[in-house]
Amino acid sequence: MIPHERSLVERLKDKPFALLGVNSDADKTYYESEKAQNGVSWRSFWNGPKATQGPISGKWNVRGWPTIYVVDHKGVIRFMNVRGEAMDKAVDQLLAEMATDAAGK
Amino acid sequence: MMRILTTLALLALGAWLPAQAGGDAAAAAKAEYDALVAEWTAEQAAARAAMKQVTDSAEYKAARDQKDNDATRALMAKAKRADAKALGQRALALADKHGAHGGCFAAYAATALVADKEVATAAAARLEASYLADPAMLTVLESPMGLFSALGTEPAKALLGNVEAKNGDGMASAWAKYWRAILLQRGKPNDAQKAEAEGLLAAAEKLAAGTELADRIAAPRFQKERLQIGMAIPDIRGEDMDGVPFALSDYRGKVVVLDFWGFW
Repeated sequence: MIPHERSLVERLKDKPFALLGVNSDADKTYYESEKAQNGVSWRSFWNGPKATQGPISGKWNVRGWPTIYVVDHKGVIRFMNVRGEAMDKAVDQLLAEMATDAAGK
Repeated sequence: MMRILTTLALLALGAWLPAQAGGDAAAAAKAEYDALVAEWTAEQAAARAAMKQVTDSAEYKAARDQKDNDATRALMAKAKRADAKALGQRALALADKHGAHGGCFAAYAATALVADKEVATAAAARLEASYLADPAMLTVLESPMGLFSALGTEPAKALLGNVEAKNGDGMASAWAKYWRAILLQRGKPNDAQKAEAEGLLAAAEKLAAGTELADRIAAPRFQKERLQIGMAIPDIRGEDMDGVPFALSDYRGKVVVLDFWGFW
């Protein structure tokens, strides 16, 4: 999970791409130590001290962890809960669409 | 999971104590609670370290790579755990000693930490006897699933019904209705129970308008109406892990993977 996301972020570091998290660790000290050990470089909203019962996941009806939304450059939800290779493919497709869009303008 | 519950209990302590401080008795009670919590925190840290030692061992990694779940479980079982039940009992003893609001916190701390029927039952009896109408009940109701799972569904529903009847605080009443609806919806509810749960949720959403609880109740609707493929993603405004405010919409113009995750 995390190693895969780390490599995705690394591979696309020069592309118009961002991986954003909604992190639901209650304990920020624990988060910091794990972050360092796991090489997590991406930015996350904090879901607050109530962890998985926090306000963002509560509003978004998140029941399973991880829950993933893939959003195109126009801000439209295009894929949900794609993992591993499927996540790579989804992101590559949307980056290609974005390049086509830019070329057409 | 246990770590999350611990943190919740510690937060409850932090939120509750300053409001109750004042007078020597309160200061003495606070000192004792602080000592108990510090001890518990240290015990948890030690348990976490022991667990990590296991998961970092070559023996564990080999078992995991072979997907030998029995072996990984057996190795995990060897790691020393914090004695949550003992903590729960000591928290209840502290509550007895200090009375007044102390009982509410201690009952909460005990039951949030301890998946133990005996402790949960004692804590629930105390809540029932002294705190049904107390605003501090809100602290318990914001995260009561540790208590309810140890207590059992029917006693939990009875306790919540009594809070609804006795507690004048709108939010306490809203939470009590919310949890009773959740408990009603578990298992195999008949049509009458389904309708009762729907009614409770609607009433709770109204009482809690503008709060996280109202958002939570509206969440299935929000997901259906706003979070489907092809829809514009709703914005999120919040703080990052360093406390810096930002918005999902700051990243418009990029392809974004939004990932609800955690290390736990």
